[in-house]
Amino acid sequence: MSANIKRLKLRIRSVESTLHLTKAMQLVASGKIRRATEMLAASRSYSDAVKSVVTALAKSPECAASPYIAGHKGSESAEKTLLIVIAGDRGLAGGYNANAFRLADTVGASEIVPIGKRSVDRALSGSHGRMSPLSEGFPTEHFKPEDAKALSERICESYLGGNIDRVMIVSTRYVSVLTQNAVLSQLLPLDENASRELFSNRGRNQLKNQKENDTAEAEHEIASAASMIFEPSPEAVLKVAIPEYLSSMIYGAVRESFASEVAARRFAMDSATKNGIVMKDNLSLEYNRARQGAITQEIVEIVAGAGE
Amino acid sequence: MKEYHLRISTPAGDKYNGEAVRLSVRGTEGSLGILAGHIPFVTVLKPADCHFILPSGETREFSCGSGILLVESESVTVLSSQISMKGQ
Repeated sequence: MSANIKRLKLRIRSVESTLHLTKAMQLVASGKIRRATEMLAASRSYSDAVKSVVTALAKSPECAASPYIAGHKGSESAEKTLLIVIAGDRGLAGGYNANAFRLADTVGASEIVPIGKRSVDRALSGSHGRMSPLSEGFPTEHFKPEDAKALSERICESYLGGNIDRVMIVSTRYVSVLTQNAVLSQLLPLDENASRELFSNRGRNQLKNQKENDTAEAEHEIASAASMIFEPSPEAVLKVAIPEYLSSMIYGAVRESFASEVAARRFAMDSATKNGIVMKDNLSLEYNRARQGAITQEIVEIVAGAGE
Repeated sequence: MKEYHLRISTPAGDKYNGEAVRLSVRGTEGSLGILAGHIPFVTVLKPADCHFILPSGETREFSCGSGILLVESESVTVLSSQISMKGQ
């Protein structure tokens, strides 16, 4: 009996120390959410503005022949896809990393640029595609606009040199504190629906609403593109706008993913804390019962001994 | 002087978002001064020291890296990943 009581006491202590950890991680994640969403909002407004310029350029007939828009047509070799995979720096964030990796596995990428320690570890294992020489193994939390700029310049150079035919990105879109969706988007070559989401795990209704919004946005963009003048020429603006566009899309995706990671971790740690409390209560009940049982047993033995 | 909405934006956030009466920047074709009612256009910016004038008459200076200037009918946006406001 006393061995059982000791075992229960040890388990309660172990659950308590786990609870300390999950509570601390939950508090850290809650503290980071505000900052992460502020940074996300700032990057969104910049990338939306650059995107509107690039979308207008993509519709300009002068830019139609550019490899950024037309792609490498006529290339005889198999299509080489560069895939940027953004995941977290740490685990313990529910299905956040697994969802991004599952989506990344659906693309037959020839090269991978991992962002986030988990993604780097996965790329280094070599079982999910070759790690690109353009990669520097960036962490997500401290990813700076300068890192995105340097990476986008290297990607553009490689793309224009014909080493890559397509650039795609897997990131996690932050919808709310409770909802985050892994999304796959094409960055290069640009098409009329510049950087549209090719696949996501969102519900059908949301996708339908998105399509309606996209159509309304496209109509607005066509109207504004017609009245836009590019100085000195659309090609010259495109040459500068594409690395800027790529960098803003990568930086924006990293910020979205980081906010999603923090929110997913907070939710996961909240569930873990709740489960831990329930487990601790059940163990305490079991412990008290066992202790009470031992005391009763002892009294019975004493009474029986005294009666003899 | 008539005013317009000016936004000076970087990936890390807006450096300025408010009204202005004049913006001076350097494009690939030379220096540019943007007043209210300018024809909508898009141009490439060269790294330079630039400034804008607020409706109060105050001049604010900033350093700008290469980027894009987007002039629309009601607003003007400076987009660059390297912008630092002087005196901040």
